[in-house]
Amino acid sequence: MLMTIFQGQLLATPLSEIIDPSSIIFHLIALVILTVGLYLLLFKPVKKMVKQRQEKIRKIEKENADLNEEVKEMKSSIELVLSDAKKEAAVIQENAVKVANQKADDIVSSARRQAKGMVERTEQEMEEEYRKLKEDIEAQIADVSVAVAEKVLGRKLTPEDDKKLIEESLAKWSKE
Amino acid sequence: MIKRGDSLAKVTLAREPDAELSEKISAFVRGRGCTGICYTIDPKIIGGIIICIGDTILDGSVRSRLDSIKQSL
Repeated sequence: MLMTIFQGQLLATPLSEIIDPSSIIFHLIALVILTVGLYLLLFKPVKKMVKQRQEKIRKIEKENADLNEEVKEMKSSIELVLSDAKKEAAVIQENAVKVANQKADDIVSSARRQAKGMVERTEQEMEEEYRKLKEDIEAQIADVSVAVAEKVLGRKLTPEDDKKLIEESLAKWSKE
Repeated sequence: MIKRGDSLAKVTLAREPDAELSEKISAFVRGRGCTGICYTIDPKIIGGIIICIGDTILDGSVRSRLDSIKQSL
């Protein structure tokens, strides 16, 4: 409206006549009121909302950073645990191998000892059997020899020989 | 040692002794204090003589010698 009037009267009247000072003041007051109203009703809540949003974002970012830190710590902790577990597994495996080798050696040495013992026992048994057999044979030889001697003496011992034998015995006992 | 004072000597022979041998045996046992002899004939002793006076035994038999030899073998 003002622009229309202004344009319509631009060539006809000077600017001081067209613009009313009270109108300017009125407009300035209205502008101030509008500005304050806008500030109070729109800019401040929006600013507050933006601030809250920024705060929320900051909080989320902080939580995110904390979570990232926690994840990082957990990751390093897991890596440490894994490393320890790997070391422990290696130690356990090494010990298991040592124990298995030791057991294998024990079993082999035990088997060797048993085999050696069996051989020694068998040799002893064989020697014992040989000794018994030898004694049996010697006893049988002695029995047979004495039996033969008995038969020979029984046949060949004459009364004169017997008498001489008796006399020798009597003479021997007489000297004692 | 032979105990003196025992009255009977038990004599074991393989065969009957002749008179001379009997006299020698009698003389021997009398020397040990015996007054009598009881003879036993046992062919199993093969030869020699066994004299028992009390609890003493004098064994000069062929059988005992063979047993000794057998033991030694």
